[in-house]
Amino acid sequence: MTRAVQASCALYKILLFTYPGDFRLRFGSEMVTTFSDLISGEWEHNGLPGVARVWRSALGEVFSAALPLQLQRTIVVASSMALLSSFALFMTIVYAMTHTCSGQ
Amino acid sequence: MSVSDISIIDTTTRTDRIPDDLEHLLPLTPAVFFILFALTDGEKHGYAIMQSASRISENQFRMGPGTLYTTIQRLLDLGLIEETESAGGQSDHENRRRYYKLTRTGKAVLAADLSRMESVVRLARSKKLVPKTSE
Repeated sequence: MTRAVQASCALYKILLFTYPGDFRLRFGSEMVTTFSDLISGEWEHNGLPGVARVWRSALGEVFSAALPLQLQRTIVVASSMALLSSFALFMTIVYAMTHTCSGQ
Repeated sequence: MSVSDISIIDTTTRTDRIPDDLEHLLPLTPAVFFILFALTDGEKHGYAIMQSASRISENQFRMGPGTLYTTIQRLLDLGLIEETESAGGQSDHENRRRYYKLTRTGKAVLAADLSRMESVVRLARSKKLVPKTSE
């Protein structure tokens, strides 16, 4: 493995932090392996233009693959929090009303 | 024959039934289509799937690891593909690979999409939009 390929893989590992943690845990090492195969093949057959093409695609995927995954997680978390807060508010109102009525 | 006939042809010529909750997947996205198609040859690891997809599409469709693995995750969750026992290897690099194969549902979904495409091509031929082949 050449230094260029090693450096690319090291950089790609950093780029993987744009993906959600659970996804990275499940597929991270496999993605690095696949990226390493991909970049080694391009370096061997197409040289620098090939490596540049792989990098352009990898950077593009931050927006087309990583960002939607992150947003999906954010929406799920935000919805759960909203549901939980609504339930807590509802229970508080019920509790307050029960106590007010029993006081009278 | 009109455009509205496509769904009728599609329904009547489809040989494999797919679960109702997976109907919304049709038509398949290019990434899903090429991954499922690549796995019809047998189990493959990620890089082999990418190479196969590139070959099948005559280099028209290329995807990076991000698209590949986000799609693989979705297909695993939907039960269209499954992870197999790793074939293993001598190096760490080989050991990190995971192998995937099509499930019966995955095959049915791919067949349904191919059937849909066939119907569209047949309709296009009847309208002389594409040349007829010798077969």
